[in-house]
Formats: sequence, C-alpha cells, structure tokens
Amino acid sequence: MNEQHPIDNLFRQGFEGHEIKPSGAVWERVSSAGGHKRRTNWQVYIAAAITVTVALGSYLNFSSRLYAPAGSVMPLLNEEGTTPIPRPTLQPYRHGEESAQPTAPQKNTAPAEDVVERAIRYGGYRFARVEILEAPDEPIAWEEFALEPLDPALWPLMPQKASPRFRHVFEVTDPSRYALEIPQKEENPREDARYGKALINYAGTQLEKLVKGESLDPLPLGLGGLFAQGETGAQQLPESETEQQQP
Amino acid sequence: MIIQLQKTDDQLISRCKRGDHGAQRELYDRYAGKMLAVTRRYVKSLEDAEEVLSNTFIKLFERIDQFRGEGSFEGWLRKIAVREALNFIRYKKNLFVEVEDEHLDYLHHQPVQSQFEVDELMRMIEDLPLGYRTVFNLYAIEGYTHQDISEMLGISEGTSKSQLLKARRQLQDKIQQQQYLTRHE
Repeated sequence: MNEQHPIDNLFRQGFEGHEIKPSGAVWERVSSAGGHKRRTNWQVYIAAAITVTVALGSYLNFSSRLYAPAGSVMPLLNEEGTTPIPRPTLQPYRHGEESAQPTAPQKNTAPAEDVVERAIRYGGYRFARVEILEAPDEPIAWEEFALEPLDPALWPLMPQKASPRFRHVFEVTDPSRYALEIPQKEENPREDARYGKALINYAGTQLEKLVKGESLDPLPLGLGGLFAQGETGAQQLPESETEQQQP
Repeated sequence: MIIQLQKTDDQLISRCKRGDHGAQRELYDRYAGKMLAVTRRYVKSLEDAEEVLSNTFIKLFERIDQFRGEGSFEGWLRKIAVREALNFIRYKKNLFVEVEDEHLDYLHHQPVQSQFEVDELMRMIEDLPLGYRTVFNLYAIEGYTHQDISEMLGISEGTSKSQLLKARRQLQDKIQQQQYLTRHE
C-alpha cells in the first residue's frame, strides 16, 4: 500500500463513488466505432487459408485441363467423337504474308487446344503427320508434329477425304482456301451401275468375237487401265503357249 | 407485478463476449459515469474526458474476451480508462521535468480538517500542471507505486516522486487558502 498522506486521503475519499453522467454522443461513438465485436485474428487467418486453398485448387484444376500430364495421351484426340470444340473464328490467310513459320512446341508441353487453334488459324496448312495424333496407344510426339505450308497449287491433289477423327475437330467452310475442305467426290450409284453394265456388254461382245476368231476391240474410255493391259497379255498368251509346245 | 432482477456483471460480460449489443449498452450504462469521473481527473476538459471514455469502452468491447474473471471487472475497466487517458495526454512532450531529490525534504504532513465538495476537489486537481496532476492521480487515487508510474509514463522513479510531492504541496496551499477564505467569510 502506498504511503498514507492526508492530502492523498482527502482526495481519495472525496472522489469515492464519484460519477459524471456522460452525454449521449459518447455511446453513439462507442456503438458506431467499436460497439460490435471485432473478428479475432485466427478467424481472419482461417478465412485467408480457405481463400488461398480455393484459388489454388481452381488454378490446378484449370491448368490440368489445359495441359496433359507427361506421358499421357490427350483425351481430346483419343476419344472419338466425345470432345466438342466450339466453332473458331477463321482468319483469312494469304500465302506468303506470314514470314514466321509456326514452330513445333516442346515435347509434352503444348496444350491440345493450342494445337487445334493453331491448325485452324493457319488455314491452308496441313498436318505433316496426322497419324501421330491418331495413334491411340502412343503418346503424342510433339517434336515430330509440325505444320507445313501447303502450296495452293497442290490443294487439288490433297486427299479427298479428311481423317474421320479430324472431321470431328475441324469444320472448315472455305473450299478455295483450306485443303481439308476440298469438295468431296460423292459416290453416285447410278453412274456405278452404268459403268458395270458397259463393262458386261464389252465383255460379252469381245467373247463373241473371240469365238468367231475376230480381233478384239480396244477398251473404251473410262474402262481402260488394267483391262487394256489384260487384253494385251491375252493376245500374247497363245504365242507363248505355242512357243512352249514347239520343242 | 414484474420484478426485473438486475443482471450480474458476469452475465453481461458473457453476453458481451458473444457480441450482444444490448448487453454492451447495459454494461456501458452501469460503468460510464464512474469511468468518466476517472478520465475527467486526467484531462483538462469534459469533452476530452468523454473522448477518452468512448475510447475506453471501444477498447473494452474489443478486448472483453481477455477478461478471465480473476479480479474485479470494475478494476480491470478502470485500468483501461487510466491507460487510455495517459495515451490521450502522451502526445504532449516535455510533460515531466526531471527534478533534484534534495528539493523535496521541506514538505511535511499537515492535517486536513475541512471537508470539501467533489467539485472543489476537482477544480484543485484541474489547476495542477499536467505532470503533477497525472502522477498525483496515479499514486494517490489509483494506488499505483512509483515503479509502476515510472514504467507507465517512461520516467524515472525520482521524477515520479518529485512530481507527487510538488502536487501535494500545491494542493495543500490551495486547501489552506480555501480554509482561510472559508474562515473569514
């Protein structure tokens, strides 16, 4: 206890139980500024941890969709008909405008979407080794995958049918600009029937001439090629047999 | 007839810990007057004292989780009020002047015979210089030791003692003056 001094006692006793009524403004300040319970630090830390976890999880989930794990096969190109891709915006391509060729990406690092988008964006290019993408049991070898410029003069020589896999992926609309969109030659049953009928008629006529000992007619246009060679071989056949029987 | 029993401090405190706004108001109504009387002794004006009081209750409700109920709640709240008052006046520099201990030996105890009203006592406290008033309040009324005061105010114990003695001397002069005036009225 502190030293008891008469002055100290006088003031201590005088102020005992002393109260001063505060104005209403004091409670208003307390109520508005600090009347509500403030969150403790650990609550803030938990909220921050949850936020970071959710953000990290979202990032990893999103990035795993973009990048296939090393050594795995991308489902985009391996599951036939299961990966719808929205129609891209096609940019007009003029041959020779783009000086920089698209470079092949690092092994197993380029995203599948990137490949598809580049392939579509660089319309007029073809895939150098499409079969790599189609091989279901082989991981994609990115270093062997490249886009090569296609000479417009060669467009008509491109295969008439695109890969069934790529038909799911690509939908190209400008036939004059994209090799994969060269009009397909459709099968015509009526024409095929006429072709077969002409072939039978020709064979029957030639058989009659062969029986009569007359010379055979040349193959008409549209039925040539292999049959013409067969005809030549048939004409030479008796001579060969004769030569063999002579000794 | 409805008899409303007054809630105990513990009940109000546990409700305040849950953020009950009504309990905070009840606790404020119960102790605001006493705490304003405390803060009023440390600062010069009532407006300043009310500002200190509002800071006191804001801090109280922020830290009420720290009250374990081991001591008196009023004493705990009073400590907060005193510290808030000291924070309020701390910005004043050169508040306390170091003095030599040899100047302190002339003070001696004299009996105080007359009774004064609280307002008169408060007026005497108000007239003290800030340093005197602060040390006198802490030592004589709140019961802190000189070691506590030196730590709270960042001064030496000698300075605390000298400020207290000077405060007592000044108050004693005022009391004698009042008694003289009262005797000759």
